[in-house]
Amino acid sequence: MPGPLPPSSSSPSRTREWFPDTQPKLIRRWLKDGEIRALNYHIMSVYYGPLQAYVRGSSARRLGDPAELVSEFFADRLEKDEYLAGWEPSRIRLRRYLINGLWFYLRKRARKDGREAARRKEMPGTLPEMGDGPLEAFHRAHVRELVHKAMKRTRRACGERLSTHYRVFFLRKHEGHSYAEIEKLLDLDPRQAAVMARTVTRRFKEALGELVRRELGLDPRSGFATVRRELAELASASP
Amino acid sequence: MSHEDDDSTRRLLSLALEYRGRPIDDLVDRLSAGDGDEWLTRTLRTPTPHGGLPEGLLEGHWTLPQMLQIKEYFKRGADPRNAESRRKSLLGYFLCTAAAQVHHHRLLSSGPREELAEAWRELAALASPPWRALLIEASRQLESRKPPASKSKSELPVLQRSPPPCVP
Repeated sequence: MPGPLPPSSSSPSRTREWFPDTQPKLIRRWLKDGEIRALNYHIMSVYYGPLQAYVRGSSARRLGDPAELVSEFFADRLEKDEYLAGWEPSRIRLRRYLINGLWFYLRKRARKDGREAARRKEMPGTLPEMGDGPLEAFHRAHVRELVHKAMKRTRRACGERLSTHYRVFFLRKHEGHSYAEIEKLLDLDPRQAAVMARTVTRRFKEALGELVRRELGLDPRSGFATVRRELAELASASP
Repeated sequence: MSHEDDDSTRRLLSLALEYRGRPIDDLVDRLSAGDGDEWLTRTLRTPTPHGGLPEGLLEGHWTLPQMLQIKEYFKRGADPRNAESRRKSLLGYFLCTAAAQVHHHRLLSSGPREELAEAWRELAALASPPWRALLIEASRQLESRKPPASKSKSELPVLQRSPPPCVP
């Protein structure tokens, strides 16, 4: 939750403190302060699911369980401070940086498995080049996670006062029930239910916008048009 | 991940991408806050030349010209630079139009009927009981009524020139 509004006399630098940090700023600050645990937790909480989806959609799935492979990758790379410190100079999106890192890690792992297999006179494990399929799976999973988190935030924002509103929204927009079905479930006039869902839609849009700004490293003050472009780019990989 | 997940994600994503803000959003947010009921009561505790605002709107003893006068005041009285003033103005506008619909069966708004009925319903879902009943009844009446043939200005009630009511 944001704190109280800053006094109007605040200097610009003071005012900026009231806005949530963007991802690049957060990462820079954590690296500078040696807050590696906080940094790793943040990266894992945002990218664990999407990277698994990436593995699942690629030939790398032959190497083992996607959850284990991604955990191994995190353990191997995030332990080293310099790994994330190398992201900023690379000037690429963090998601791309992590995908590249994962892919290099999996290739290294496959080569190692290959050498061991050769010693055991077995077929070596190999990985073909990266394709579009797993990248799309990664984007889809990323969008799913953002939407899922936005739903949780919306639920919290609705609180007790709008709990029925949220229920209607969930049943209609998440579960895909018709308003006639919702009428039976909740004993609500369908027209009333429709406007209740609309009330929550705005909160959902705001929650999603805030998450996209934060997790994709956009300016916290950027308008929804910017958020829309980012989401459209990610969503273009959706089925 | 299942197809159901993808369907839900797609549905929710397009919902957020397509949502367009409306002037009523800010009022809805204010009424949704924990103290929304108190805010509504406080806002309506406003003297008017025709008596108390809540009684006038809920009990229906105001004439149509009186209601029109109050509605116009709310409609034009907002300070566009002040969010609280805009919210109060919208609240007064929607309650006056709803009361005129319920008590006089007259539509005091030239806006699209569907949008007005939807706004009344949205406010009804957040307002305390007497206001909820008024707003639901107004939207029910409007939704069940066929749009009237276009009305000439001379048919509208004539307002007496009087000082503006003492509203916020």
